[in-house]
Amino acid sequence: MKKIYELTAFEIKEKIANKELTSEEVVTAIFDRIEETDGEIGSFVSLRKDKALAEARIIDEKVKNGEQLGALAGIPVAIKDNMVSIGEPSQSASKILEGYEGIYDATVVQKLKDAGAIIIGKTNMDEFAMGSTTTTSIYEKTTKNPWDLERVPGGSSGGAATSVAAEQCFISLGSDTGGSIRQPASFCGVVGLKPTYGRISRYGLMAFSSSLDQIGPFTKTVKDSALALNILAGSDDYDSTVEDVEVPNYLDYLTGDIKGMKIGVPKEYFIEGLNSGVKKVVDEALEVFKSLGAEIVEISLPHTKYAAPTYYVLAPAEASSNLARFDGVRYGHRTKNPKNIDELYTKSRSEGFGDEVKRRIMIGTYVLSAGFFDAYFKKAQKVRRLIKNDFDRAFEQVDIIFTPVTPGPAFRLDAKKTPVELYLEDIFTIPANLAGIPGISIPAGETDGLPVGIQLLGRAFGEKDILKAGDAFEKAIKERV
Amino acid sequence: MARQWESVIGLEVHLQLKTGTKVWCGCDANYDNSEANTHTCPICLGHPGALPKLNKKVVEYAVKGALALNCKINNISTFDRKNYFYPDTPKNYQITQFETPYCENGYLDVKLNSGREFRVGITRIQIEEDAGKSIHIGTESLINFNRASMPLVEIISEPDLRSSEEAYEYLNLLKSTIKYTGISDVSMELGSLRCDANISVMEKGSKVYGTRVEVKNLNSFKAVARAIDYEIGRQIDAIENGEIINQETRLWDDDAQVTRIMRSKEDAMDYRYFAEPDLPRLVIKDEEIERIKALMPESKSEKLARFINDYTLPEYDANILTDEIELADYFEKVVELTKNPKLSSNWIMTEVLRELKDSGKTIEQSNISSEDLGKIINLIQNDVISSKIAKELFTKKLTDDRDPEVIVKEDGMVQVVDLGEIEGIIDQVLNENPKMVEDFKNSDEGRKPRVLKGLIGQVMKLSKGKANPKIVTELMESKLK
Repeated sequence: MKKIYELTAFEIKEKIANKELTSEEVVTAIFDRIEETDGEIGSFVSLRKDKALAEARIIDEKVKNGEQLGALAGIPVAIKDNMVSIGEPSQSASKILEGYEGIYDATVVQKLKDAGAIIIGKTNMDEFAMGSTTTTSIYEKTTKNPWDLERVPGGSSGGAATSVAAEQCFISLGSDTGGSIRQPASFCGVVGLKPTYGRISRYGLMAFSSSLDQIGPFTKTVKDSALALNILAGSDDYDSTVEDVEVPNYLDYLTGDIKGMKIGVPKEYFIEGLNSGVKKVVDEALEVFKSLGAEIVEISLPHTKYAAPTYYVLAPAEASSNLARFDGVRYGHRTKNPKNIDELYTKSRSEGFGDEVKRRIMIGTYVLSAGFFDAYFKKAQKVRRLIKNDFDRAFEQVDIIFTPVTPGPAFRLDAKKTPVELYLEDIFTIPANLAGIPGISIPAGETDGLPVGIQLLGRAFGEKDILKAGDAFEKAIKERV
Repeated sequence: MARQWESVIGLEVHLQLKTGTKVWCGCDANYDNSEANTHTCPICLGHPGALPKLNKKVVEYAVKGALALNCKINNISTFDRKNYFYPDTPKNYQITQFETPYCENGYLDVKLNSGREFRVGITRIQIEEDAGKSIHIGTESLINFNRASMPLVEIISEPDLRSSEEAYEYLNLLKSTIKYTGISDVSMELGSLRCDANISVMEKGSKVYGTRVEVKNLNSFKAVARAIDYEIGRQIDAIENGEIINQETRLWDDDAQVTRIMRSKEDAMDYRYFAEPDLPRLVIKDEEIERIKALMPESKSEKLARFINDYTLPEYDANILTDEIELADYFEKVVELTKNPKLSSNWIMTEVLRELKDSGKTIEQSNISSEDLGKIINLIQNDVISSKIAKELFTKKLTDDRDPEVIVKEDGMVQVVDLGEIEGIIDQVLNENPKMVEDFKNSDEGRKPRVLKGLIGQVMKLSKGKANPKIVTELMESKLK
């Protein structure tokens, strides 16, 4: 029989409702598992065991009394450290927010609580979500890839990915600005969904790049991803960039039948430098889709090569402004004995931010400055529009788009990549953020004992299409094993 | 021949809108006497993850202001971030409208005391947020964020003003026009109206404007006028001495009555404006503008016309009474009680306005409420008191909290209408003044009324002004026949 932590969120949900398991048993099993594994993996930066157990008992009471249960009742969930929750450490893995506790709940946290989910703690990340390794975190622990402890888990939502991959929880929330959900999902062999921009409220997510950031779930299966999205999606009074588009029941689309679905394969994503092991897994995955009756169509997204440079102009620009509020005046780290206000600012920020964050603030400040705004920021906005147009044209021909997630599998923690090399880790994931469309990373196979994911992209608010295709694919490869 | 100079002035006026709640959050905007930092929340304090959401009432009020100033309202406008570090700006950027404001191309037709009329163009009006307030006590600096995120509109005029007098009259008209819309208290004392002046001088007839100097810290309309005069003089002197006017920001020192340099162009801030990614563009449809138009209160010119037509007041009276909406409202309340527009107008234009001038109070602070004045006038109309007594009553009421009707009764100010009593007094006067009676009888028709007036005067004096003059006249005339 499977151990509790080996189950999926959906199985847990059913077993709690059927009284086969209590939420308290599940939460206890999860904390035992964390205790056993997190010393090595390093997913969590804070835990709330006592509160979680107390909340689990309340759920169990409801089950006993036959009360109506929320869709995630009793399921342990982990939150990335850049999402604010009331009275809990919320620090974006940054020294500048040392000791900061949320004074309100992010909308996603509120929605999870309302659905009965049990929040177990906060997960490690790259500082302010800037990075693709989870090594820019201020926390002393290093989050490691559960498949190979000498390798990175990916980032910036590395802890969120490992918490699901190491079976320390059933759903975790990450944020994805340029691939920060999909890349670690691929590296860690779990499902990671970045929804359409404006599908999930960003209220309470510490902003990195407001026009690109989106919250999404990590799960063990596509079905769990749909279950989570059902709860997280939808309009919010506190975020006016969330569009008021109806939230369908995503579980209804998981029929396994994708006969006749048109899947576009963009030639620009199959570049030289794509790791051969990754290429093999991706090619095989494409065969699976063919065998399921999908129609594979070669497409072109001609502006793809400009995506990374565009992103590395726009994202730092917004970040430089978004991070301006961390100044030591109202909360967070303040330098000791500043001589004047300028010193309070510069020293608090110099001491509080790490190198990668400083690097991006400086790039962002530069590209927004009066003499360079038109040459960089304005130009990048125009290119962003062209990239979006590429996708719009593609989706006139196809239902979804199929690509690799990353050029290679998880690399070694001691790989010593330059910032630019690390930026290129995101070349396949960034375009979806620039275009605002949804993308999902689904485990598709292995190379050299490391997981490899595939990426499915959908049209705006077309999460149901990529979940449907992803679910059919997942079922097909499970049958093969 | 001495060189002739011409000055060019443009004003930037900030108005605080009295919308009840702040611009991006639901915080109560009525913080006047509240303890510091009690009207704040995660949004207006710029806490991590908090997002702005535009208050709909701000748009309604802003549109009302735009309509009153004859502006064209843009159906689509955008919000931008103006980035700069300042401790009372919680996010370290201000959300404002830069690229496309919600309204442009308005005007006000200003009339000077000399009767000369001219038009001042309004370049644009933008919606933005206010900052908090810094308080410096010794070496400590404290910040009160109650004002942070209060809704403002910034009204930017064309450089159409040529003198301090023109600027003064423009501000007065702007103030009374906005006051009529009810969107703001427009009070410099309360800080709900703030003004900066852009001033330059050029040789008369020149088509090229001189270098512009911005003057801030103007605390009253008089200070605006004085600062303009000072600055024009300073700039002319400088140019005549062969100096170059630098583009700079200066502060008005009201104690010394001079402007002082605050920062030069070289230290000018680079605000790094860019589109605010947390707010969608602002869409104001034509139907919405029509709806708001229908909600607009009567304008000053509409009220003026109505006062002339409905109350048949002379244009002179109507002009004075409608100069300020509070006075017009006061007048209308008095008329409602007295049903006598002209008599009410006379009383307001003489007694009430004189009293306000003497006491330095506003009509709302006056001790004579509209009910009080209505009652006083009605006492005259009902022959309870004479006009003369009414003036005494008015003066008494200024320091007396009792109802005018009560004062009249308790202090025995009631007019004597009893025929017997009046006859007794007349007889006494006739007896005591035989010479005057003789004089009357011997006078020709031309002189008689004057003598009669003298006798009546004696009667009034003896009755302490309380005898009804009409009865006295009639009785006296019949006695002398």
